[in-house]
Amino acid sequence: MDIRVTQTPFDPGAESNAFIARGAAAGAAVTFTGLVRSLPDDPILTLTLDCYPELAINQLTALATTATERFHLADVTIIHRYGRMLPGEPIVQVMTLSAHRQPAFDAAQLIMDHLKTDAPFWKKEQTARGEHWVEAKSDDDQAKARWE
Amino acid sequence: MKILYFAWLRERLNTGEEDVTLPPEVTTIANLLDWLAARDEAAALALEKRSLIKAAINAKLVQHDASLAGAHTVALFPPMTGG
Repeated sequence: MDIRVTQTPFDPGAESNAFIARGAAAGAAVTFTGLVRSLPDDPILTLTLDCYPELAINQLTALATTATERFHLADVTIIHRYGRMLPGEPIVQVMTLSAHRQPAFDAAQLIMDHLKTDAPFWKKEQTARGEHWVEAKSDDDQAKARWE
Repeated sequence: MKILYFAWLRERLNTGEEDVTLPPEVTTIANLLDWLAARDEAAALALEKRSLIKAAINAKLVQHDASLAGAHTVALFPPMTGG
């Protein structure tokens, strides 16, 4: 298990290759990368993530442990950035390794669905019109609830 | 005891961190929110919608009825928007 909360940019390809290289006996690796989104009709200049690193490590470790036990994962990695980022930059990477593809997919989705509402990160978007905090969405609570 | 504030709560209170000495009657997160809100107008406004305020004690998420016994760090923050 590898849990990282960092202000340093990371390379999703290199992270994925390193993760997969550890999985010869596993059979299936799922990699999800969340990116800074800037839609053409609502462009952002930068995204800044506020974070409580100590609680983030605790929450992400608990989530990874839950997913590992529930889906019998061989390995799991969660990397989450905070600080200032540009459109297109990776924010989060979740990677799961399992004997079969379905548990690897399910575990990655469970982690992402919980992470959105349970990990202490807060997004602030900077646009040409000013800046604002992103509000929590009820969709995210519903996505999480389907795992209960 | 140290209190940490994050995101818009930090901005509205104009501080990210403070050390406080609590009166003996403040024994839970809910009491703490009441006590902080009573200090000044900015705090009262920032903490107005209590259901929006989440809390952690010693870097563990807790509910508003959680006891402050043994707390050295309390964090208060809005709903999280990670991922």
